[in-house]
Amino acid sequence: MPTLAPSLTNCLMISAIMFACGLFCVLARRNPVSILMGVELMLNAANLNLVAFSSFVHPRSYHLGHCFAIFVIVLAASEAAVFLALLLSLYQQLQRTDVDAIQSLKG
Amino acid sequence: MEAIDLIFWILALVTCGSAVVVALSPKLIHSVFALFFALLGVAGLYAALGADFLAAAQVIVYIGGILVLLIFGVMLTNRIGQSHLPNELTHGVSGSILAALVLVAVLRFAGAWRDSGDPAWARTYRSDEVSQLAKTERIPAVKNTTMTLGVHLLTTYVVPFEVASVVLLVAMIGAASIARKEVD
Repeated sequence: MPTLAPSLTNCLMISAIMFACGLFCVLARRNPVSILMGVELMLNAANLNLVAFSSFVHPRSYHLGHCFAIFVIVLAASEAAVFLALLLSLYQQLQRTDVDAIQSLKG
Repeated sequence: MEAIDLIFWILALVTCGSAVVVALSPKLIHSVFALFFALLGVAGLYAALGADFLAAAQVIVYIGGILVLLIFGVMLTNRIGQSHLPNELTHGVSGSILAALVLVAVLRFAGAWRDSGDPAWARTYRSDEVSQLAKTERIPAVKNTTMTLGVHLLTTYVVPFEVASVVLLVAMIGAASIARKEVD
């Protein structure tokens, strides 16, 4: 077993569990909100990896991993906004929120 | 066991437990509130890893923005008074098999079964080595990451910074134009 102190492997294990939960959400659910939550969980897991590598592999140098994580947060925010707009539009047209209901290209 | 270890493991338990609840909860609104605790746990882990600016940004952007958007989406697209907002599992078996495979592969790659506590392919530094490094290489200790991040975002990474701002603008305009009602 790894040590109990915060180490690179412990952070990678936490983010692996988060990533698997997010992947399960995306694969197993049919509700768009649930799928978006899974995507956010996976992005958070990736961000946690970036921060962990930044603080354990390059402990003193400039914070490259943090800069990268900020860009990931920006993209996650814009993605969530577009996703909510699509969800509202879908509900206005079909009166249900189910990704299996989106079958026709021509509304 | 030091205090930071205890805090780290409490945060890890909160984060992983909430992530599991997000994945497995049968009701949608329970998943959303579990996601709140997962995001809060990740913010705490950022703080424990020394990323103070990112911890604040995580709380502001994810909890203050994205989570509110999610709750907004749930409330607007479901009839609250009539249903209990079920969140059915349609592909539970195949999804869990694939997620478990990915989990085992990533854990194996991260060195979860090694004794040393570090993956074999990464050279990591411990705290005593970091203080030794500061003496030999004369790299100044960074107490606060905000200044370093700001300087690098506006000098080294100024092009990605500007591209990200354009992406945010385009996403905002696109979201507004998709979500507006059709005017005939």
